[in-house]
This record gives sequence, structure tokens and C-alpha cells, in this order.
Amino acid sequence: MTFFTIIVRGLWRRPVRTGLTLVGISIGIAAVVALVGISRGFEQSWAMGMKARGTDIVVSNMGSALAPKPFSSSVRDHIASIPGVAATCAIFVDLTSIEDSSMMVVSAREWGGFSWKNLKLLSGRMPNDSMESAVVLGQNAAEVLKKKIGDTVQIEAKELSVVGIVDGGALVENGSVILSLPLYQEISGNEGKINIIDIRATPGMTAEEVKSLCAKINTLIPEARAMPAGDNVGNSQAYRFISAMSWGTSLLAVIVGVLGVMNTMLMTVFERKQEICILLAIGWKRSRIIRMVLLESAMLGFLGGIGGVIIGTVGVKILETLPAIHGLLEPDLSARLMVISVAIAVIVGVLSGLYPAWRSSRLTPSLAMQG
Amino acid sequence: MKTILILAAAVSSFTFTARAAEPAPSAKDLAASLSALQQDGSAFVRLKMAVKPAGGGPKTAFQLQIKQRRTKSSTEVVYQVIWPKDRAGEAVLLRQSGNDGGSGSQFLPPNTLRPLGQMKDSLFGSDLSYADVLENFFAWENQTIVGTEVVDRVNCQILESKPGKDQHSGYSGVRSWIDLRRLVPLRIEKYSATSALVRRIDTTDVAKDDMGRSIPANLTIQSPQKGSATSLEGSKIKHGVTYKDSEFTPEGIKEITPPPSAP
Repeated sequence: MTFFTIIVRGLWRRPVRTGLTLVGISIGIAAVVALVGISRGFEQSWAMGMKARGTDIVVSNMGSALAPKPFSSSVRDHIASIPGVAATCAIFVDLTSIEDSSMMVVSAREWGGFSWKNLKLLSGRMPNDSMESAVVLGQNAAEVLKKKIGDTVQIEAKELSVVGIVDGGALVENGSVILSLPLYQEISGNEGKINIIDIRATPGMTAEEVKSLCAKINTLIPEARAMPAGDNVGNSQAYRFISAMSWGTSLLAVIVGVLGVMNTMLMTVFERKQEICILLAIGWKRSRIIRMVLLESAMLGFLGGIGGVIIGTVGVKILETLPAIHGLLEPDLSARLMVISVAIAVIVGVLSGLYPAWRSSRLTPSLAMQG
Repeated sequence: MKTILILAAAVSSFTFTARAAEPAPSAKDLAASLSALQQDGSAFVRLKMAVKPAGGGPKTAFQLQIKQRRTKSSTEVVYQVIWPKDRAGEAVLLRQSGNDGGSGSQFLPPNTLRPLGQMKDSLFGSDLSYADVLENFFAWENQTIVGTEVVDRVNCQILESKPGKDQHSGYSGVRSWIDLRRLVPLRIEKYSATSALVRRIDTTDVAKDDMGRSIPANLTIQSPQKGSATSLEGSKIKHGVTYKDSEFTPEGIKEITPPPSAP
């Protein structure tokens, strides 16, 4: 019988209890996978949206709201004159309730700006001019709003024609209602206001040079903050709050898992008191007993982690198919997240085993005779 | 283990002492603060309203735009339906000055403009009456704190408001469950003259507005006697907007104007 066999046999001694403990850890880890995966997926999908628009730098004022705060559109002209800025596109992004849907992204873009260029027409056409009462819908937005070419969509009090369905190359783009900036400024009462400026840096700039350009813009423009594309959402208060909530909820679930494992391992130590004392009597060192208990709890964590990753992934996949969520989620279920989740589970297992291991190390061979 | 328990007890007793040291506002002060938050000048609001009729019929959804000018002594509010298409343009103007019972006009496209009947009538078939929109019960004369209760895991003070002699209301009293930290009512119950519960309004989502203050982002209004329910989901709010006086006249509500620019 090897050291490893003793560990496995220890866990297998009470299969129902071990199974229930594994379910507890798995649920905790599934929460980590699902919640963190969803919040990171949100951030990545914004970053992909920026990339799809060919944006290197985003200038915005991300406050506590999900949509950035508006500022004067004259800021765009100021930025355009800064050396290193190859092109700019002024945008007004809004989150608003449209018709029967609760919240939709409305992306109003400077007419002729480069952010229109990445949109691939799937059907219909683009608006003919900046003031045509028309929108194009990202393919997911069309699905959510149940609209096709020729239908109308009402934004604020204005009825606009759906003239095209587009593939924007990223979830955020595909979930947006896209129209020209001057048209939206007029119908939303935001004349002369924008809340995002997409910037293309001079071709060939390194990441460091892009960062320096951001710093330069930030010294010249107090109204908003320039950040390399993809970093801006991660730095918004709203996203930080969502992210913190995800980790906080996951942490609670993990704490429940810790208590479950600790309880199981304590019970194991109490039940196997005689066995442990005999092992000490036949010459096992206390450190080896501690190692045995810690490895048992680490294995519980590892198996629970694997189970959690599977449950979390399947759960998120099921969530994605629900009609209310379909097209709105693009979770980041990367291998990195899976490895982190399993590592958390193993660490949880080891930490939970510390107290039971310490208790087991305090047993003496003579206790074996007391029964 | 003992050390941990002692430490935990010390921390919790310190927290308790620290909280106990914060003086709770008096009923009058609390009501005055809430009243000031409600009567907070001019604002533009966009929201989605869904009315679920008694007996479980299909929900009717509306997109509404609200223009309001609220001061300490007067209230002017315009509710306009902007969606669905077949109801777009319907509008209601409500006004109240001082302690009068309120009055208003209703516009039904294409050209029916009439004064409102009774203030207890329903707003666009919802569970809100015109009086509910106008009334600021936090400004009523009689305000009492009648207890505390946990609502949605938040410890709330229960504020009871009763109209004074000169204050007109269809309700004999209103109870509000106030989250003192965010200064937001999480539940409101309105009672008839026979003390029967007429409306219950719940909030499950509190968000920050454009001025960084906490406001209810959604409301569910239930009429226990009728069995119907209405939900309101806010999507936009702009404070400090400028309106023309004509927008708060019966003629002015015939037209749906775009949201005003914020300063």
C-alpha cells in the first residue's frame, strides 16, 4: 500500500460525505467560473469592439454610470491636432430602453468616421446621409428588438427606419443600434455633445508610444481621459464594481467550500484517530501525518475544482441560450480562468486541511490503546 | 480559538457602539430631506412602464417621457407616451400649487384635449393615479417614525405621513420604509380612509442619478384591492434642464419635443 493509496482510501471511506463535500466545493468554484468569466467576458468584448473599430486609444469620461459622461464635441478637434494622432472619430454611446427592450446600446458615430468602416453589411444598406432618419442594427440587436429591414425602431420620440443589419465583429458592436452622430444628438437633446473619441495612432507606434500619447492627451484635455483601447472599460467605476461583486460573491461561495472541507477533514481525523495513532506507533513521523491530511484535503479541492469548472462552464453555456440573455453574453471561459479556478480550489483544500492536520499531529501512539 | 472569539466580540461591540453613536434623524428632519429630494427643480425622465392587469391578461408596455418642474410650493409634470405607436402622443399635464388638490389636462391624439376628471383616476391605465404623481406626502404636516424593519436586507426606518387639516389627499396615511444611508424609500404603502391598503410600491434596484444621488431605478406598484400591478423601469434622468413655460400648458402637451439639453 503506497502513501497515495492511503490518501485515496481515506477519502473513499465515507463516499457520501466526500461526495457532498465535493458538491459544495464544486458549487463554489462554479460560481467563480461563471461570475468572473461573465464579467471578464464583458470587458474583453468591449476591447474586441474597440479592436474591430480599428481603435488604438479611447478618450472618455467613465464615471459611475455604465455609459460615459458627455463632453463638448470641440474636444475632438483639439485632439485631432495633436502629433501622433492619425485619425479620430467622435461617438455618443448611450444605454437606453428602446420599445419593449429594457436596455440597449445606442452607438451614434461621426458621419464618415472610421468607426463605420468595420461594419460588414449582412443585409440592406448603410444610411444615405448623416440626417437620414435611419439606423443599422447589429445582428444581435436586430434579434433582441425583433426587427428586420424596412421595420421602424423608435429612439426617444423619433421613429427611425431600419435600413441595414450589420456584423460588427464583436459582441458589443453586434448588440448595438448604430446611427449617425448628428441625428442622435438631435433626437436625444445632446447637440454639441459626445462621450467617446476613438483615436487611431500613427501607424507603427509601439504600445509604449501609444501610452505616451495617452499621457500627452491627458495633460492637454481635462474633460476626459485617454486610455489604450480595451483598458478604458476595465478602469470604469461601474466595471470595477461589477468585477468586485463577482469576486466577492465567488469568495463567499469559496468560504462555504472551505468550511465544508474543514468539517469533512476534521470528521475524518476524529474517525481515524486509532489509525493515525497506529501509523505513529509504527514509526510514521508527525510531518508525514500532516502531509497525509493536507494531501487528502488538497485532493478534495482538486476534484471539487474540476467538478466546479465543468458545472460553471455548462451553467454559463445554458445561460447563454436563454431567450432573455441570448446574444448579450460572451463569457471569457479561457483555459487561464479554468486553471486559476482549479488552483483556488486546491489552495482552499490545503487551507481547510491545516487545522485538521494540526489536530492529527497532536495525537500520540498511546491513544490507540484507549480505543 | 478563544482569542478569535474575544477579538470578534470586541470588533462587533465597537461596530455596535459606533453605529449607536450616530443620531437617527427625527421624523420631521427625515421627511424634510426626502421632500427636498423629491421637489428638486426641473428634470427630464425616460422610463418604461408595464401594466399587468388583474386576472393575468397580457402586459401592456409603454415608453414614457416625463418633464417636470418641482419646487417646494408647486409641481408641474407632463407625462407623454412615446411608444407604442398606437398610443404615441397621449399626454397628461398635472399641476399642483401649495395645498390644492391638483388639476390637469389630458391630450388624446389627434385632437382631443380635455380637463382631467378626478385626481384619483388612473394614469394611462396603470396602478398610479394622477394624485400619486403629484402628491408629496413627505411635505405633509404629520410625520412620525413608527418603527424599523429590514427590507431587502436593508435596515429601514418606517416613516408614517398623515395629511394635515388643509392638505388634500385621497389617502388617510402613507408609510415609507426609508434606507437612511442612501435616503431612498425602498417600500411605500398607501392607506385609504378605512385604513385598507390601496397601493404598495416596492423598489429593488437603487442607482445613482446624474447628480450622484441614490434614486430608485425601478418601482413595482401593486393595487391589492384590484389585483393588478405596474412596473416602472427608469432608463434616463437629466436634472437642471431648461423648459419653456409653454411646455407646461394644455396646448404645449400636444407636441412631443425632444429631450432638452442638460447644462
